[in-house]
Amino acid sequence: MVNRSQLFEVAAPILTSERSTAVRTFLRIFLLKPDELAAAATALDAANKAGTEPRFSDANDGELRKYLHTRLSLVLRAYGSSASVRSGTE
Amino acid sequence: MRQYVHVEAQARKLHLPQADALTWNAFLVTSAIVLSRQNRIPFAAGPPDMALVPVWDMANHAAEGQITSYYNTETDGLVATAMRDFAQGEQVYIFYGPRTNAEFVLYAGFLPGDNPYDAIRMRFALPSTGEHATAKAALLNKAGLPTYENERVLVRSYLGL
Repeated sequence: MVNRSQLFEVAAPILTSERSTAVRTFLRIFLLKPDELAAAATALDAANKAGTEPRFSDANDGELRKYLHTRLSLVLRAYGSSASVRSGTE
Repeated sequence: MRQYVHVEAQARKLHLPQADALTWNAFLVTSAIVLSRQNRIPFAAGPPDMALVPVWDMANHAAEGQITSYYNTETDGLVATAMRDFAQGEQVYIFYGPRTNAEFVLYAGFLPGDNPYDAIRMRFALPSTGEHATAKAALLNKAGLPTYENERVLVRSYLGL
């Protein structure tokens, strides 16, 4: 069984790793509140212009971690090991 | 079996000299070779296509983390350099790439004992009926993450274990 600290170990790279840009961007947009949509569009335009990763508000970080832990716990329950993360689009 | 019957019939219809040798066992072996050893090769004269690379494709995998085989379109040949120094008589390995265990089994036919690139795939999707789904889909497209009309599968993440 995977414990809570292991889940944090898995979630942490998603929040910080350069290789997790795509999934991080998806989750931040997925969790946006209605009043945050306009600011996100502005941030995306700025990022596209600068060729960098969009900088969203970190106000949803707690929710993002909670969502990740829920999803990851379903997968990791069958494995029970420490983990690292790599991600991308297909 | 259906493919074998079709190929065998075509071989006889075309009077190919190999038709008599195309037994069921021979068909299985050749199919396995083609399916497990073909590689996408660039061609100067046209788009990339699948092809066998005899001899090179016998090299075993070692998780050294660096691909050292490239196709030189100018010379129209594959160039493989040593990933490290090999002693005389020592087996020469190549790195197949950062594949997961599932990919090794499916595409290479073996399961590495210790694979630092092992991973399982997770799918993240934006529900099409979720709150402000259309607006969020537009933002995702703006972020370079594609959406699909029927199933909004957006990001597949590899979770390394």
